[in-house]
Amino acid sequence: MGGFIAGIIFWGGFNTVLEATNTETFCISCHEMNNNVYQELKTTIHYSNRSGVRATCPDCHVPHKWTDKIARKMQASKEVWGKIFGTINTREKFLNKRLHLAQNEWQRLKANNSLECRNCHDLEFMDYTRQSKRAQAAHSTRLESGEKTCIDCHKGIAHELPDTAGVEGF
Amino acid sequence: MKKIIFYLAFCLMGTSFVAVAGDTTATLRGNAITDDAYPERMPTIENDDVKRARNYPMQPPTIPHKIDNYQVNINVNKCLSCHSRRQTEESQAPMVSVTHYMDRDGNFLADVSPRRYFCNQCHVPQTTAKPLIKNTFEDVSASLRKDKEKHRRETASVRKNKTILVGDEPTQPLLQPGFPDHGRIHRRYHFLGWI
Repeated sequence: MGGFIAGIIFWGGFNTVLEATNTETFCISCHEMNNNVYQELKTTIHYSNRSGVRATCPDCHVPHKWTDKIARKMQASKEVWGKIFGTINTREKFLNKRLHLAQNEWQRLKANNSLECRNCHDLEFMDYTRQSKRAQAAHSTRLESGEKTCIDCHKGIAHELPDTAGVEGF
Repeated sequence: MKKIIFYLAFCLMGTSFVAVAGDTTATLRGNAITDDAYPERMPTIENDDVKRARNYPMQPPTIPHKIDNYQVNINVNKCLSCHSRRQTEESQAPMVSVTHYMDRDGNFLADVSPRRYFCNQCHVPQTTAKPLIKNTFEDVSASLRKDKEKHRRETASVRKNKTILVGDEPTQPLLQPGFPDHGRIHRRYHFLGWI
């Protein structure tokens, strides 16, 4: 009986802490996130737009499915290490690392077929008639056939791009 | 000290004169200078991908689509991710003109020349905003057409006069034979060189 209650308390506590780390407030409590990437997000359509629906950091950067989420959180232990030892604690260090950091995210999204984009932007419900001609042409062909995924064309949609010399698509 | 005060007073007088003379700007402002204007609605960017005519041959073409948040800096040029030579096959966008791949001595480069890198220096999108002042610009074809029209009228009246004044030829012909008046058109549009 005692073990059962302890289990509930442990699990509840674990989940609460996990959820707490899954908020934007938590992300931007570190100056590395607040001063660099968060400021850039603020100028984009994923932060401010006509309908007021916005994406927060974990919406795009943390998988929603529990198993994937735990896997990502385990990877994030490396980021805690980076925080403690100040890997990107100045603007210069951040800019020097930027291509590497961006490539990590591009690879992740490429590998999971832009899952975090598709949590909100579902191809199934896209109305091509309400898109511009260029968007229509690209979405109805290469996206629909699966030849391309969101991140292939929409790199830099929410943050500034690093030096893209040699990156495919630029 | 006195001199400084005198100059200051003089400058103040000057500015008040300018304020009186600058009354015409009030028509553009639409309200008294002391009142806060109610802002106009923000115009929307035209995003229909339809090419617009150029008003003169060397005009940088305007952009027929939105360019919100396009990053053009030392790291990346978002425009070139569709319009560069490398990307046009995939994007089917028009390639930037070949002049952009030339240095100032006319040598061809492998990539867009640094002096042509910042697209927005010359190319801009257009909004649905109505012009505040009517634009009376007419392009070279319209101007030439007008000249032709004028010439036709003039020669017609000369011919008419001739029938009246038979045997009384003017000592100087009113107009040089031949059309169009190339000399005049050349003088006016000499900057177009190639005409």
